[in-house]
Amino acid sequence: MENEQYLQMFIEETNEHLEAMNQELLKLDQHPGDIQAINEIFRAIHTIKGMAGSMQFNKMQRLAHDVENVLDALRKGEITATPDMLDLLFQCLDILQSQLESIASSGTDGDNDFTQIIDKLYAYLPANRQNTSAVEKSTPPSINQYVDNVVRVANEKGYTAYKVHIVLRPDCLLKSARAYIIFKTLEEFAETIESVPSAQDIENERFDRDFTLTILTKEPEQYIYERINSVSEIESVTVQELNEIDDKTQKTERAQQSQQDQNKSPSGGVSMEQKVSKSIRVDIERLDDFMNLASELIITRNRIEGIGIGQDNPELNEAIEYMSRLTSNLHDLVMKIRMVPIDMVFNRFPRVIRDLSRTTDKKVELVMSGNETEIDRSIVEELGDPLIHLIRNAVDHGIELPEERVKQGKPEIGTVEMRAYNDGDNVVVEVKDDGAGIDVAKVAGKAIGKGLVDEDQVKEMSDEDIISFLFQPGFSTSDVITDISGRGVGLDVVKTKIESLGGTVDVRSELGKGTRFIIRMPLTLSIIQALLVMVGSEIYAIPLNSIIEIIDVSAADIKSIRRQQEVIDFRSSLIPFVRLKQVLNVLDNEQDVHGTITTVIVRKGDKIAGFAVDTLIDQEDIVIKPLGKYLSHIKSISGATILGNGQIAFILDINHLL
Amino acid sequence: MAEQFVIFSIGPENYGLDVTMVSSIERILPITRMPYAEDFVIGVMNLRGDIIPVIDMHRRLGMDEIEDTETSRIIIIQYKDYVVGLKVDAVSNVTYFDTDKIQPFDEISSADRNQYFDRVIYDGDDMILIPDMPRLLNISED
Repeated sequence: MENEQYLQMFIEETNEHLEAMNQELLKLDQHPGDIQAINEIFRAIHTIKGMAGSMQFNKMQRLAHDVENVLDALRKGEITATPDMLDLLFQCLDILQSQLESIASSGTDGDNDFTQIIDKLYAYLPANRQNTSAVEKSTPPSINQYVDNVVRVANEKGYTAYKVHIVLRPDCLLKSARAYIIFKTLEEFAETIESVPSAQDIENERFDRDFTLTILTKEPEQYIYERINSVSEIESVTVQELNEIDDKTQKTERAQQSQQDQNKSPSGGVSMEQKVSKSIRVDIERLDDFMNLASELIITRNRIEGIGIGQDNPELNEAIEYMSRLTSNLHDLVMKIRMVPIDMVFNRFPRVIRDLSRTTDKKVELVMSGNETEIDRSIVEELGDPLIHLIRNAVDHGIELPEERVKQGKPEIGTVEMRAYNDGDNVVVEVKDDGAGIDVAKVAGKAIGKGLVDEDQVKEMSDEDIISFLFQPGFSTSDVITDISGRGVGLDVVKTKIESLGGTVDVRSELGKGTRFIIRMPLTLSIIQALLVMVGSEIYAIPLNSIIEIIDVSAADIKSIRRQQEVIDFRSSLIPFVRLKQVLNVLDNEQDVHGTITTVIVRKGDKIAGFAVDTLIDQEDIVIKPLGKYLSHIKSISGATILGNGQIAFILDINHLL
Repeated sequence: MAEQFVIFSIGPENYGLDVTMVSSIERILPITRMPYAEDFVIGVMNLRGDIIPVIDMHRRLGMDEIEDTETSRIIIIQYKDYVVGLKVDAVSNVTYFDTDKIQPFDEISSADRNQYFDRVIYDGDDMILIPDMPRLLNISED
C-alpha cells in the first residue's frame, strides 16, 4: 500500500517533469543555443532518472540516464544541438511518456527494449564520454538502495527519516497486538518504509522483543518518542535521525544540482516561473464523488420543492427557496473546482505543429490565445484528439508549400491559430488557418458523385450547407478532395466525438484565404436542461438543446411515404414523424387519440424530426446518471435521471433515434 | 480450504454465488422498464442514487415468472466492471463449503438452463448450482 502511494506520487511528478521537458525542448528547437532551456531539460531528466531509480524502474532510469548524458554534454558545450538530435530527444521523450503510461497501468517497467535508441544517443556523445556511460550499464540496485532512494526523495520534499528502535517489556503478552498499536500510532503522523524484522514476521509474532523501523515524518524526534512511549508495555524507545546516504555519485549529483539552484536565483529571469500557488492536489475520483453528492442533493431539493408546492406554508416555502439557492451555489462551486484551463490540451500542440512542419516541409507558425479559458476536466481530456485532427488537417491540406504561398502573395510562413473563449454557457474553440481554403465546387462535385444530392439541389444550397458534406462518414477521403482531407480519417470522427460531448462543430472557409473550424462545447457535462414527456405510462427526458419547438399535429396532416415512414410538414419541408410509443416499444392499451398529437420537433446536426408524445410534463434541470457498462450497448438511451419522487426517467439520445 | 457462497433459490432449486461478487442484497424496489434491453433484463432500479439493471432469474432460466413475494430479493453483484441485480425468490444463507465439495458441472441434460452453470456443490441430498457469470449475463469474456 505504501508503494502504491509512492507510485502515484512518482507518476504525477514524472508527468510534470516530462511536460517541462517538452516545453523546454520546443524552446531549444526555436533557439538551438538556449543554454537556459538546456539546463532546464537537464534538471528535468535528472530528476526523472532519480525518481525512476528510487522506484526501481530500471529501464526508465537507464534511458533517462543516457538522455541526461547527452544533455550534460550539451550543457558543457562539448556538442551542439542539431535538428536531428532534437528529433531524437523528442523521440526519447515520447518513449519515456509511454513507458510512464505502461507503469501507470501495469505497475511494472515492462519489457520494452531501448538498446536501439540508447545506441543512437551514444552516437551524439563525444568519444571520451561514450566509455563512461557504458561502464554503468548494469548496477543492480540493492534493497538498501531502494530505501536510501526513497529517503532521498522524501528529504527533498521536507520529510526527515528516522530509525526507531522499540523494545517491548518482557511480560508483554500479545506482542504482535502491541506492535500493531505502535504501527497504528505511527500511521497518524509518519510513513513506515522499512521494518526489521518484516511487518509480516511481526504480525505472526516471529520476533523476540524488539524491532526497528525506518519512518518518514515531518514531526520532530521528541514528538515521535513521546507518541510511541505513550503506548503501554514498552520497555524502551530510541529515535535516531537517519544520516544522509553516503553514496558518492549521488552526493556529487546533488551538489551539482544545488549549485544550479544557486546560479539560478540571482539571475532573476526564471524566478517568475516558480510562482507559489496556494493549491492542493485532489484525486479526481474524490471530486467525482463530491459532484455526485451535490447532484443527489439537487434531486432531493427537487423532491422537497414538489412537496412544498402542495402545501400552503409560507415559512416552509421560504426555507425551500433558500435551500434551493444554496444547492445551486454548491453545484456551481463543485463545477468550478472541476474546471481546468484548456491549456492542458493546448500545450500539446506546439509539438504537433513542429512535427508536422518537419514532415511536410511547410513553414507553419502556431498562434494560441485564451489558454487560460476553463472547462470541465472530463471534457478537456476528450477534446485533445479532435483538435489534433483539425490541426493536422490545417497543416496537411490547408497551408500551402512556401513557394506556392510566395507565388500567391501570401507570407512564406503559414499561420495556424487556436483560440479559446467563453461565450455564455459555452466554451468556443476555433482552429483557423490561412491556407488554401475549401473548394466548394469540388465538394459539391463529390457530393453529387456519391449520390448524396443532385445538381439541381446543389444549386439551391448555400456554401455552408455544401461544406457540411465534409462531415459525412467516409466523405473526405484523400483520393478526391486533396485540399482538406486527412489521411483516410474523416471529419465525421471529429464531429461524432464533439457531439457525443454535447458540442457542435461549424466550418467557415474562403477559397484561397483559409478555413476556420468553430467548436462549441458546454462548460460542464453532468447537468442538462431537459423536457420531461409522457409516452404511454413511461417518462422520458429530451435534452432541451436539441428541441426546436413543440407543435400540435392533427392526425390528418400525417402522411406516409411508401407506407413505411410517416412524415409531417414542418416549415414547408417534410420531416420524419416518429411515434415514440412504437419506437420505444411502450406497452399501452389506450388507442391513439384522434385529433391532435403533441409533437416535439428535434434537431441533431442537420437532421430534423418530430417526436410524437402523449403529454408534456415539465422542463427541468436533470442530473445525468450513467447506465453502467452492462447497458452501454443501448445507444438510443444516453443515460438516465432520477426524478424528484425517486422514479427513473431515461434520457433519449436524439442522434441515435433519427 | 473453503469457499464462501450466498445461497439463493429460484423455484424449488438452490443456487450459489461466490460471496466476493455480491455487494448487497436488497428487498424489491420499483423497477423501470428499459427499452431495447434484452428480454431477461426487466428494467433498471434506483439503488440509493445509482442506476442498476435488474435480471429476472425466472426469465433468464426459462421458467415461468411468478409474483413477487415477501421473500423475493435482488442480489446486487459486481462481476468485473459490470454491476447487475439478480432477482431471486429467496436468499437463504451464506455458507462455507470445502473446496473439494465443489465440482465442475458439465452435465448435458434436457434443461437448457444448465448451460449457465459451470460448477456444482453436492450438499447431502441437496444440489447447489454455481453460475458461469459471462454466460449468465450474456457478456463476452475479455
